[in-house]
Amino acid sequence: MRRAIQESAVKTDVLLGRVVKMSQIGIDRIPCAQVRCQRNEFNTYLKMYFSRSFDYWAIDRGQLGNLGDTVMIRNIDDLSQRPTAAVTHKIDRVVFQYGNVIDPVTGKRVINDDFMDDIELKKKLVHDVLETPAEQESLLFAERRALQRQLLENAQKDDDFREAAKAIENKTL
Amino acid sequence: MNLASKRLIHTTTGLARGRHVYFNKHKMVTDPAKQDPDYFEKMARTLPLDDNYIDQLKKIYDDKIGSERDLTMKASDNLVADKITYGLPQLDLSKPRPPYSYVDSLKDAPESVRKIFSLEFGTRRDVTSEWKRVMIESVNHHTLDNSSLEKKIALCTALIRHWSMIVDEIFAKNHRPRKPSWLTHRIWLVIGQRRRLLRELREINEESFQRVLKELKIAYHVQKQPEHVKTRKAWSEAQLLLRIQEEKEKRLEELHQSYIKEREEKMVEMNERKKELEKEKIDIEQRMKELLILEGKATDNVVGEYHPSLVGNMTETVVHSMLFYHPKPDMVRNN
Repeated sequence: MRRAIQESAVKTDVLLGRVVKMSQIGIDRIPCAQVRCQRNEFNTYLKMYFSRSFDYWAIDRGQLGNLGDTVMIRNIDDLSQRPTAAVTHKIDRVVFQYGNVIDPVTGKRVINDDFMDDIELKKKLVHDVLETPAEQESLLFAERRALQRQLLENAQKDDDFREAAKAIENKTL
Repeated sequence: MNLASKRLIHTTTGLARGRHVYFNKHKMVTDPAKQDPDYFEKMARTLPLDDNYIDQLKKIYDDKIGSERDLTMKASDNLVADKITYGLPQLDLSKPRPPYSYVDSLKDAPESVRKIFSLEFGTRRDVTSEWKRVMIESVNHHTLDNSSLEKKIALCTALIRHWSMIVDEIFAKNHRPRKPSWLTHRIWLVIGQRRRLLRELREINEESFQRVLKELKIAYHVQKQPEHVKTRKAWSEAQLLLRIQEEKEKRLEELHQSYIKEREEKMVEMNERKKELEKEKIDIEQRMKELLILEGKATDNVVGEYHPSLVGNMTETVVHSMLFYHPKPDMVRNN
């Protein structure tokens, strides 16, 4: 029977995946991790790729990886180096840490598709322009609004603010 | 396939309508410790291995299965038993209602006018808005933040809690045997939504996640995989196996430690004996040397070490052995 699914021809030498389980091998308790990696399978009938996850056990002597981290694993070619038959890879490095994603290009921390410094800037601006006048109870509503407007105009004239606002708008580096 | 026959403890009526059947749906959980998904397994692990072990396991299993239903909702919140405040923040009821919070003339108005426009005399909607506002402001990034995960989680938490309060009020008032399912179902959906948001926040920002849990007093547990042990017998066997393994490991560890300790003590004794024997050996060698000197077979006060000319000696020895097979005569006096 001819199958429509063509398995991936890409070798498993280097893979990127997420750690789904941590375990230990033998009496020496060598730490190892089960890494879930995606590999594409081509459907020859639909002419489309469908990704499928496969789990690989990778040895982690330096305890680099933790549960949930995105790691890069490398195949252990020398069979004598493999501690057991099931453990075929080793963790090369941690690409993204779970709960602390850092953009490898810029080196900045990323939270929900925004850089950390952009988020901090927004917080600072809202605090300076909006919240500080609002905390002044003695002012009337119209006075408070006028003060907020004035602070906003001052901030807009500030060069640093304009550049940062432009960068946030364009999502440039 | 007859599913009912596979499930020994559940009845068929619920299955027919496609609902999950609970063992004891009226059992209420009040102990916050039971929120831990592994609570009952941990309890089973502490049981002593005596004649009552199996009966104790049965009690734990009945408690576990009975608490399932209540825990599906209650385990999501750290306020399992709080029926007074429902985890909602305390409000200052003398503050103006939200629509009038920015009105300047109220500041100078007489006390009676301010009272009319206060939260105390407001609608239920004003109170819930205020609860939501307080909870959101405790965790959001800034005043204008409307899209962050923290804000959404706080809003979900406020909804869950004040809706739970309404459910109890309706239930107490109408004296019906059932809670209003139109509201309990919405609470269940929002609990699920909040779990998803919390999971997403945990993936992105671990510190913010911990802060949100602490501020809003939410309990977050990683959901367990569905158990492959479906009957009490299978569960009890699994617990017993784990318990035995634990006991075995514990005793092996104790034995290992005792061996290490024994070895340390023995090593000390052996080293001392070794030192004594070495000292004895040195004494004996000294005495033998003295005897040889007395007999004239050795000399004392020898300075330096004698190195015979091996090459020359070896050549002579080889020549002799090749020619005559006689050993070369040595110059030591015969005994």
